Amino acid sequence: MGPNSDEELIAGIQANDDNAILRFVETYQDRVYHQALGMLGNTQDAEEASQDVFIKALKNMKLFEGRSKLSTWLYQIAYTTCLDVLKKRKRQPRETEIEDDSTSTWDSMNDGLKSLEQEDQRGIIDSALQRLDPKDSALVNLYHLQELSIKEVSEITNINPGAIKVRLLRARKKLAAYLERDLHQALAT
Amino acid sequence: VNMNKDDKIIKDILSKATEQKAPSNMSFQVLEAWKKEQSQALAVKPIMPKWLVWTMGLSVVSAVVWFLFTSSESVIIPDYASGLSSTAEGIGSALSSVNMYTVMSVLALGIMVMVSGFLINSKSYRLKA
Repeated sequence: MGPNSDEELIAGIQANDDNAILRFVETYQDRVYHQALGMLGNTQDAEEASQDVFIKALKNMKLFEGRSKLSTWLYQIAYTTCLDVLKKRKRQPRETEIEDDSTSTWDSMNDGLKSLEQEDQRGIIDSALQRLDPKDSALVNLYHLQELSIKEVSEITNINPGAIKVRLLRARKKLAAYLERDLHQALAT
Repeated sequence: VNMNKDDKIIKDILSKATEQKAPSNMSFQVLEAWKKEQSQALAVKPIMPKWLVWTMGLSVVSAVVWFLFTSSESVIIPDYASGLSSTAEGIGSALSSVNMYTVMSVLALGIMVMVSGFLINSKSYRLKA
């Protein structure tokens, strides 16, 4: 039986225990990969970035003071690593221009999605998420999917809480507009 | 800004997106990369502190220069009117009184110690915190 709690994992990693390192990566790999994929948009970059995140974490584990959760610290490394990749890539913004004037409520859109096949639902949601700006995508993932608090998201992204709320509100509006447009198209066909 | 009203529905919608799981062998890949990283870090780790490398190198060079200048009186008190020729003469006579190859070898050794010390120490193997 390997180490389970964060404290045990950290102690094991600091002792250079292979089992603790494996367990550490297995525990957090999906969350780190998910965030990287959301920000970078392709699996190859996301895999490379995720590996970098874990190597950086292992190298700096001695500096981890436990003031935040291990997951929060990892998200922070993942966020900055992905931003570095995006800077190097100098890619054009993914977000396409769209009026964020959705008239549907989230409730009605959820009902609309439910009326579609599961595969179509996934396609529409994936597509909407992929069109978000990488930073907004990270915020949506951390706040809505990982259910972190605004304070934790602020620690991770180094964006002040007020700005996060504004960015999240804007991202939600964009997301709603993308979903609404694609949902109308899917229901019309 | 009311952030709570639709949060549950948004999470419900987003959780229907394609599940994005990391490759199953990621932990082994990370472990392998980590081992490689550690072995590289050990390989370039300075075997002695930078200051010691420089002190040793400079000592050897200084010793050779000191030897050259003290082995000939005409070099210690140069004739300023013909300084250059005296110095050259002094170095020449000093070199002729010892095995030139020995002096050059020691000088080269000192320079090599400094250069290798510089190269080893300038190799960056630490991560930014």
